[in-house]
This record gives sequence, C-alpha cells and structure tokens, in this order.
Amino acid sequence: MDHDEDDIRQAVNRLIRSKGPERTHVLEVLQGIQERYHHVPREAAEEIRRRMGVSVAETYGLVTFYDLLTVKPQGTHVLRICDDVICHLKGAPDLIRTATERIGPEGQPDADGDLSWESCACLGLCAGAPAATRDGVPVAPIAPAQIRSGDGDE
Amino acid sequence: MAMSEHVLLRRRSAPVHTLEEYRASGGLAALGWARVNGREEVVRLISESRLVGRGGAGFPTGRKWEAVRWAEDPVRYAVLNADESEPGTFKDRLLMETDPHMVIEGLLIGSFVVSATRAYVYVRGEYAEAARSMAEAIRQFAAGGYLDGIRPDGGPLEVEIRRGGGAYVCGEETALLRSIEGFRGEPQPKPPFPTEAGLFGKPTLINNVETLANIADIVARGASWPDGLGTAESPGTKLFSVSGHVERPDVYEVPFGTPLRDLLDEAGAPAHVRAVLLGGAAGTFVFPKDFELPLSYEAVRASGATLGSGSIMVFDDQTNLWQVAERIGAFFLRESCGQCVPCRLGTKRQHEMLERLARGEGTGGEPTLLRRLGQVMADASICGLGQSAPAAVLSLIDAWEEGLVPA
Repeated sequence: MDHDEDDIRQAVNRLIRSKGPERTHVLEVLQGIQERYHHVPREAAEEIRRRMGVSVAETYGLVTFYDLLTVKPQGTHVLRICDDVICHLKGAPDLIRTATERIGPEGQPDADGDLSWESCACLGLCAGAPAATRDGVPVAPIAPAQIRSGDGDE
Repeated sequence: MAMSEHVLLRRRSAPVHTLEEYRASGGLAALGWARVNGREEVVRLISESRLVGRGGAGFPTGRKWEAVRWAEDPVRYAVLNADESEPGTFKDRLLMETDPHMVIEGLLIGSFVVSATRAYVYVRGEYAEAARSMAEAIRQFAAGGYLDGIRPDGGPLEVEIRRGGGAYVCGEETALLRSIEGFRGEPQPKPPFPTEAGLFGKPTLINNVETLANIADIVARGASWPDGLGTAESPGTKLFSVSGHVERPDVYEVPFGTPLRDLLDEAGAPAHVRAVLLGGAAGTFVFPKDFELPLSYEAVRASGATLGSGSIMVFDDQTNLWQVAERIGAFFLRESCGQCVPCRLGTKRQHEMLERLARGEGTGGEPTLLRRLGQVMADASICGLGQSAPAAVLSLIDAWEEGLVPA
C-alpha cells in the first residue's frame, strides 16, 4: 500500500512540531507514524533524518529493535496473540493455528490489508488467559471462534 | 477473614477518578506534609520504614533517594519505571488503572526530595489503559497546582509520559533511560549507576510503580506503617500476581512472611500442584515440599529463590514443566537485545536444548550443557536479562536430579 510521500512528510513534521525536534522524541514520532501508516515507511525515516538528524540506518535500528514498530506494513487492524508461559498452557497454540488459517501467515496482512496478526510476549493479561490485544485493546480470554468470526469483532 | 490485606489495594473496589475523590479518601496529605516538613524529614521516614524497591532488585529506597539528593549536579531527573513486562506480572497495571493518583503522589514526593527538575513516566507500550489513566491523573495534579513548588526553583514540575516500544529489556533501568533518550533500549554497564549518571548523563531517581505506591502512606502515617504487617526485615505488604492453574487468578496483597501455601489456597490452587514458578521467567521453580516458604525477601533469598516481580505461576500435576521451560527459553530468546554475546548466543542455544527436552528428544547431555551455559550467561552477560535467563531452567534441572520432575 503506497502512501503519498507528501502526506508522510507532513505527518512527520506535525509530530515533530507537537513533540519536539530533539533526539529524545524520535520514538514518539515513530510511534505516531506507526499508528497512522501501520508501519514506518522509508520516506518517514528520510524526513526524520532531515528534521531530527537521526540517520536512516539508526531509525531502521530503532524500528527493528522495538516490537511495536515495524518495517513491513501491518494490517489496518492488528491482533497480537500472547504465546507466553500461561497463555500457551491455556490455548495459545490453538489461537495461532486458527489465525494462520483464517488470516494468513504471521505478520502478513490479509488480501485487503485489513487485518494482520502476530504472536507476542506476555501482555500482563494472565488472569484472563489466553489473552490477545486487538489494536491495543485487551481481549482476554479470547477463543479461536472470535478470530475473524465474520461478526466484525476480530 | 480473608488473609489478603488491603493497604496498597484499598481503592481497588472503588477506583478514584478525580483529585477530589482522592483527597476525600486520604490522598494528598503526604505531599502537604512533605512541603511543610522538608526533604530531609521525608527521606528520614522512607529510610526508617525500611522500604525496598519492588521492581525485583530489592534495593533500599531511602538509600537510593539519598544518593540522588546529594548528587552534585543541579539538574536531576525522576523516572517512574512502569514498564512492567515480566511474564506473569500484572500488579503495576492494576495499580495504575485503579489508583493512579497514589502512584503519582509518590512520584511527586520522590521528585521533591531529590530536587528533580523534570519527571518522566515510562509506561509499557502495551498498557494503553494504564497510560491513559496515569496521563489523566497527571493532568489533574497539574490543574490543581500540585506540580508547583516541587522543583528546587519553585517552578512547576513537568511530568512527561513516555510509552514503551514493546521491549522487555527496557524494564532494566539503564535500558529504559536509553529508550527515553531516543535510542535502542540496550543496557549499559554499571557503574556508573543512574543515581550518579543517568538520564542525559544526569543524576536520576528511578523507582518502580509498586515502590512509589508505598510512599504516600509512609509519609502521611509514619515510618512504621503499615503497623504490625510483615516481618522485621521485610515490613509491610507485597502484591503478587497469581496465574495459571488456579480458580481465581488475580493480584493478591499479603503481608510479607505469608507462607506461599496460604496464598496458593487463597487463589484456589488445585490439590495436586506440580510446581510454581516464583518471580517470573527470571525466577525459579518451587516444588510442593517447599510450599511453607514464607514470602519475605530474607526467607526467599535464603532458599535460593527470588521474589522478583512478585509473579506466581501455578502448574498442576498434568503440566509438562519442560514445555514450560521451553516457553521461558523462547521468551528470553525473543527479548535478548543482542548486544552482548553470552546473552545473544546463550539464549539461542538454551532454547534449542529446551526444545529438544520439551519434545522428549533429549540426547542426555542437555542438563550438563545447560548448567555450563547458564554459568557463562550468569557470569558474563551485561545485564540482568542474560544473567537471569538460565535461572528457572537451572532450578528445574536441580529438581529433575532430585527426582521431583519426570524427564
């Protein structure tokens, strides 16, 4: 999915105006870009280099370090399925199998780019295991039937 | 009577949403007391209370505050570590969602004592609701004028919220500071400690959410608060996140010294528990023969375990603990920052061996190799992540050798 380069540059500049141009704000800018474009496009990294003096290579280093930032586009909606100790015991493997069948391979958006899924580390939702978040909102417990169930939920 | 105390969690059943409600329930008295009685009196109370940091390392809070207070640089920072990510831990999330004002009041008192010129609240990226709740509480403190007069120059303290990027290692304090500065969250060798050279190279106070949740009560009610609860060496109460094979997974608050078995009963553990994992992925397995263990820093340390973040994961007797260990290995493999070799390669090799054991395809040499590898990782890794990544695995191997665990 291609975004207009001007649109991306403007988004970076709006974020820099609101957060600040100093290095300490670069993660906040990247988080804002991820939220809007569901990944950090190359054009954003180049604008960050021009405005904040952080090289494209360093931005790439940040995006690949932090799990919530991605180089490749995610779906418009993202299902994150906890696959850690307790959720694994309580059914995460079934959830992951269902997500693979109904959405596709981990990290790849479905055909219309609407939804992607990924497994993740403990979400602090162990009391409701197995747990997931949908666009950051907890769904715990979550059942396989809730994954792309057609009722518009996941 | 239920054994659970309601000290830190007393507002849980009726969460406070406004500063007025918070004041009506006893809040803000400590901040007022601090302003009237001064920095020295506050830090004396905190030291006398014997409060130690609840983030896992167990460092005396009063000593940390003194170190920053007496630092030479006039520019100092206070940072709230709300990057709770230890597997099986969700008590800080509960505190921030249900009682954010108490946590912020603790942060403001800490900022006041160390004469911080700015404060940061670093909330785990996955904790959207906690971040919203904390941001709203900060807004209310600012609107009520409660941030005025905290800075040494008398000006209003700016309290800035930062969101984590999804990296467990950022709970390590030097990594967290790197993240605020806008870098990869790679831990730094210590010394220098953040109290001398922390955020932007300046003296920095970093405290965990649960630690700061204790502050307002101690300041308002005295150093012996909560009177009579806990042990001589570990006064007060502790939050435990209990999950796994229990009927009532939840956050429990119990006095230090409570036997592990009592907490398991309270949470509805089954009659036949194979083991609990105490302290999170970086913790150790504890087996039924040791369930009388009192949950205090001193008793747990003496037993060779750790309270860590206060996570208690319970496994029934149908659980294959080698499969649990495989998940722990996978977690550390995923979360290793890759900066130092013992951890980057060690977490990989450890996970490969655990995968074999979990599938029942061990070649017989794994326990010995895991022991040697674990020793190297514990000795040579830069930070606590690599140092503690083998801990649970090694405790499982010990138990297997004692015949407590099937192969």
